[in-house]
Formats: sequence, C-alpha cells, structure tokens
Amino acid sequence: MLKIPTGIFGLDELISGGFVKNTVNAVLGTVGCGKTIFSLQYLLQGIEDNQEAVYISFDLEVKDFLRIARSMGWKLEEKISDGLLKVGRFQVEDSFIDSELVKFITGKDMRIVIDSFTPLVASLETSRARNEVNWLYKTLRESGTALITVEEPFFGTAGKEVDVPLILADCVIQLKNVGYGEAYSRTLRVIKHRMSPHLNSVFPYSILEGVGLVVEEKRCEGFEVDLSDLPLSESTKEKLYRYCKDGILKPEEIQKIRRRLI
Amino acid sequence: MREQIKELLKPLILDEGIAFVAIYRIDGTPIFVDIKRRGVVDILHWLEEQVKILLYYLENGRLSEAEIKISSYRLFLQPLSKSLVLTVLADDTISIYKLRIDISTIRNEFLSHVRV
Repeated sequence: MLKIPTGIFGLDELISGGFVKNTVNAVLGTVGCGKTIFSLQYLLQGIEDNQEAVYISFDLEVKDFLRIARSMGWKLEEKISDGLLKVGRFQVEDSFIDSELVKFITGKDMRIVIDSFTPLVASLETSRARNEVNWLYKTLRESGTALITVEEPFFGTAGKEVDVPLILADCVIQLKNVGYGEAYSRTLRVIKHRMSPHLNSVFPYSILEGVGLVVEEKRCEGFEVDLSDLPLSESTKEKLYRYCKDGILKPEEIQKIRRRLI
Repeated sequence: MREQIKELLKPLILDEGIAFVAIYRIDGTPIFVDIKRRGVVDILHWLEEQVKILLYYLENGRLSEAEIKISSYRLFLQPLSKSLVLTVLADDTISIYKLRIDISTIRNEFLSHVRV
C-alpha cells in the first residue's frame, strides 16, 4: 500500500506510515479541537512533497483562511500565487454531481481538504445522502488523497451529517478536548484505518503556535536543540525544548518547523 | 507518556490482588487500562456506564472519592487531577490499608506529570 505522510508530528507512527494513497480520511472533533490546523498541516506537507494542494470551505473566505494560517506563523500567500495551493469557498448545494465543487477537485495525485464536510451533508436529503457522499468520495479518491473534517456535536446526538461521512471514510481520526489544560485534556484516537494497521489507544496531543498538532509519544532518542532564533513565544519554545529532550519531536522535524516559519 | 504512566502505576499493576487498573478521563474516555484477569471483562462492561456517572459526581465535587463492592471485588475511584480519575478493581485478598497508601502515593507523583 502506498502511504502519504499526514504532516501531523507523531501521527504517521500510529497509522503505519501515513494515510493510504487515494483514500478519504476523516478528522472528527468538536469545536476547538484543532481540525482546521490539522488540515493546514496536511496541506503544508503536501506542498513540501510537491503535490497539488486544494483547500475547500463552505464557511471561510480566502482571507480568513490565510489569517488562520498566519496566526500559526505560516505564510501561505506565496503558495497560492505560485499555484501550489488552491483555496475555494463554495456554497452548499443539494447535489454534488456536476457541481462547481467537483470541477475544482478534479485532478491527479492531489491533496484535497474539505473543511468542514458537515454542512455539505446536512444539506442533502436523508434518503440520498449515502449515495451522494459515496459518489463524491469516489471522485475524491480518483483525484488524490482527501482529508475531510467532520463536526462532532458539542451537545446532543449526531445525525446523518456525522454518521454518513464516517461510515464511508477509509480512515477516521477523532480529536477530543475536554479543556482542562492538563496532559490528556486533548486526545487523539484512530477509530479506523482501512487497508492498514493502526495502534488502538488514546494518545495525548498538543497544539503549538508555529508547529501545529504534536502527538506526545516518544519516537526517538532525546536531543538538545537551539531555538533562540525562532519567532515563537517563550512558552512554546519551552515546550519544544521538552519535546526534543523527550524524543517526541525528531531533529528533521525541527528543521521543518524552522523552514515553515522563516 | 504511556510508558511514564505505566511506570507510575507499577505498584498497582504488579499487585496480585488487583484485577485491573485504569485511568479514565472525566468524559469517560479510558486513557490507560491494564487488565490482568479475563474474568473481570464482564464487570468492566457493566462498569463503563457506572463509571461515567461516578465521574460526573467526582467532577462536580459532590464526591471526593468512591468505593464500590461488587461480588468479591472492590472498585476504587480516586481523582488524580482535575480531569483524570484512577480506577482500581481489587479482590478481597488485598490489604485495603496498603492499597490506599499506594493510591495516595501515586496521586502525589502523578500531579507533577499531568500539568502541562
């Protein structure tokens, strides 16, 4: 199975090397758990691997998208002007077939993000939702490897807009945040990963400015690093020093973080 | 992180009288589970819902800790931090006094690990 790296520090080790190529991968989570930042990291990795990257939203304008990226310390304006990244905002329609959205995502070996997928399914009639989503997933798989974000309700139970995308997705990753600011307040769990083994457990993760999501699991021998030149807050640097010392981040990942910021 | 937790919980994991040790997050998510006896899986399933209710009361401060007797087992629930609860299922061969000391020691050590 061909795999592509997710771009999330520490996640590839949990899913045997990354997402399976030409699959649809869902990130499930409530408000504030980091779904959009997850998407940004996935796209950044794609751009660095010379893949065409596409970001689709039903809520965010291009300028809003760029603002979120800038708040993380990443400048994506040049990537858009250089044609490495396409960002599109679409209106929700009652059918995907022959829609502008489908034309936007048609290609080969792309990295496609739909953030969030939930409004798209919510607009569909219940009786047609499964078939429509299945058809769109097929198109996404033909065009490359897709990441969709699915909004988990904060209160109450989920409906078709959550169930259908998850049932049909090839991989489901759940992000949770209980908001206590302690270790394990934020956790990541791989619910399914078709055609590839994955680790069954709950893993703590954090979100750092300039870095993104980091799964807090030891992956290498600890090392010392100098981060004094990085335009990051002292608290973020402290955490990065700890992650390096504990072997949570690898030396080459520090280089990657540095490249993205400067 | 998981290895650190396992190391901290070692005194409980190695105790012959303890059937399982788990750490639950306040929303009911099992963060760490070590089951030593297959026979307790049924109890674990039954406990899943009970634990959520107890955790709700522990979170609200109405309970500071909880202890339940189930057939020949005792279940101890002890908050480790604002969001994590240690759960221990022990049989009747265990010294409850020793267990309480072990849990208290683990709780004190654990606090330095959970603050981020």
